[in-house]
Amino acid sequence: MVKLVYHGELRHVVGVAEEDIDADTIKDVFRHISDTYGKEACGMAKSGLVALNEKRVTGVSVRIPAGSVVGFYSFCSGG
Amino acid sequence: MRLPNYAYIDLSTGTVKDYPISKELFTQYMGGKILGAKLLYDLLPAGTDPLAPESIVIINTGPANGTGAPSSSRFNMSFKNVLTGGIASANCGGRFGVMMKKAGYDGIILAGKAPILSAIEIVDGAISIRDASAYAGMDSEETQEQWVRHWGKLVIGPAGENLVRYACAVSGERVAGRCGAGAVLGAKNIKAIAAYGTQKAEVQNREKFDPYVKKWVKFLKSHPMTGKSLPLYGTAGLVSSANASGVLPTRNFQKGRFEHHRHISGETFAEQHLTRNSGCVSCPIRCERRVMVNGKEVKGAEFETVGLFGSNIENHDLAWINEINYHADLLGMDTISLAGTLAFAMELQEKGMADLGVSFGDKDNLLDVIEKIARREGIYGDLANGSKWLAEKYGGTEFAIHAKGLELAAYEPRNSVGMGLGYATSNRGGCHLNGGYLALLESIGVLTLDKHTPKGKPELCVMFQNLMEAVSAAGFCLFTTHTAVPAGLFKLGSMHRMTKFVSKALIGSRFLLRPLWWCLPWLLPVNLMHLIPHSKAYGLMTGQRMTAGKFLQIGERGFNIERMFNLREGLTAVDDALPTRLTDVPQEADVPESVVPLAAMLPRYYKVRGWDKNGVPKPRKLKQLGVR
Ligand code: SF4
Repeated sequence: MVKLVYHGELRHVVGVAEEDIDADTIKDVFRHISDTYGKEACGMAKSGLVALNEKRVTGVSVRIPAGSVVGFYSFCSGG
Repeated sequence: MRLPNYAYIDLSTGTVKDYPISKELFTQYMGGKILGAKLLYDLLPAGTDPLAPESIVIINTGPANGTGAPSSSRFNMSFKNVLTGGIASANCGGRFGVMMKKAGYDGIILAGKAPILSAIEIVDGAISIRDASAYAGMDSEETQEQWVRHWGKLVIGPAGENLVRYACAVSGERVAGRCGAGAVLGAKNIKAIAAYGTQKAEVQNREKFDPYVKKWVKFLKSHPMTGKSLPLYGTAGLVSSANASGVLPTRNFQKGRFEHHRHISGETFAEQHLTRNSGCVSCPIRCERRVMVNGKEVKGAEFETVGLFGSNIENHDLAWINEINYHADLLGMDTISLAGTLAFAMELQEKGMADLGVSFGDKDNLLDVIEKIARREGIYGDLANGSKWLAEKYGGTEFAIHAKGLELAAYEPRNSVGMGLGYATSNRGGCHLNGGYLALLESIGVLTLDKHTPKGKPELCVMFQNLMEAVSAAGFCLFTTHTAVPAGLFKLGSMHRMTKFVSKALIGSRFLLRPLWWCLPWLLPVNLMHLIPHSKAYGLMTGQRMTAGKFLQIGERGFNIERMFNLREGLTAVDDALPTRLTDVPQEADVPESVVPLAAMLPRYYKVRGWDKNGVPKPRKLKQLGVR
């Protein structure tokens, strides 16, 4: 099982803060979001920052070890 | 063409005279920090102590200030840096700049020292100096309350009066934070400057300017960064991405990830602490957070403060961070240098090298400690001098996190090596903005430039340092540059192959970026709304023929005059350095490249800049830029 944790706006769109799913790769996670919450939610998830066990992932084919946490955040900037 | 109106105020004698700015000076150096650096270079004798009466402080605006252009209310302070001994500029978003301009002045130059604690008033073209000794010891809020609400004020708190080396100046709830801006005013016995006026900022081509501004505001509002993320989460929205990318400074920059980051994130901030968002005058972005502290609505902490008073001292109490942020503003201290110095002192304590009454994970006494720092009480007087000074006294140079003496901002550069180069080469010391802010391209943003490679970083660093220099000097908030990353890429996301291609292309662009600086301004004879919207607005407001190329070249000129100032004051290539923790010790034991390869980047950086191997601008470069 993999835990998905949604933050910010995406949390409001999907309507849950976190959930457990079966997934082997980040691609599987996006497919789950698209199938469950629709294309808009999936687009939002893809357009933000995705972290696997608190570390940023930059490819959809990244494998997810069982028991991992995948977090979704928005990009921001500062100064 | 309207030339800027400057006053020269001799505080020792109480005299005020006009200080004419020539057309050449204006067109070459624009305003704000660039014109400030040039004036300082010309007026301040080399080797002057920044806190001596002979020192000079310049407070000025850019041409955009007060015109109604987006995010254009900010003003600048230029002076000799109390922490580094080199150039200093401190930018602030309060009302003061707008009001000083309305009162008829684009800038004031302060010389000498008032015989008693004084206040300067600038009212519709008239400048007067009056006794302010009754305000001695007042905090920044109380001091500002001595004038009616709609005046613009710039004041210092107790820290400035007591010459804390990183004291800031405060306008409204905004601060001219860095480099000791409050200390230099305190050294001149200036407690406050208040301005009120009714004049309107001139715009040469109002007919074209207004529709352009409208278009620009629409563009800012439609961009995911300036139209959505910053208004929703403020700069604290960076905590999560900084943590995931390993650039969130933790335990005095020992690590780049904090296990309790969620408690201090922008999302938590928005959900649990935010009362509303707000912004500086004429800003459509409105990144400011409003929060409740002790039953009162005040400005919330920015990312820098959240990171440095949060993860960097191992604290995850966001309400407390907002509280200490408020208190630091009242006392008038830069939260970056203050928190950075405290974290260094905590590590000194941890290693048994000095006990300055502070330790990691124990925040309970810190509100009291910062009060004592502001008043330089006992041992806390040491903490009022900053990390570099502390390291010279107690040791620990390798983990005193500063560049040239100025504490680093909240980006751990070992997972953003271009940011590390920026810190090391920034003219004012460890500043992310004067450093070009490559973290946005390498680690915390949608683009994913290889964060460990030195390739392309010198070229991009120079590009963004020059751009930010010009944008700031023109009078715009630097957040308006964040739209340079195309909105379309945010839609596609960082994993999309187009985004990855753009990231790679940016690294590849290094071959074009070096010759670019020798071919300006003719190589970019256009204005680019989606990349540098500022240049066209600048042209329309001043009546100058301005292009992106000219605009960038003014930025380059500014960076070089600042460098010349530093060299004259004895800061050399040796000072383009970082503590060895960041250059020699990998942040992650299993990622050997998680260090800042500074030695590999600096020679290339100097080359791109047209400087010699000792980091000195070559005569040819100075001639090209017209720097004398
Ligand atoms: S973006 Fe934020 S800091 Fe910049 S002008 Fe607007 S409100 Fe002020």
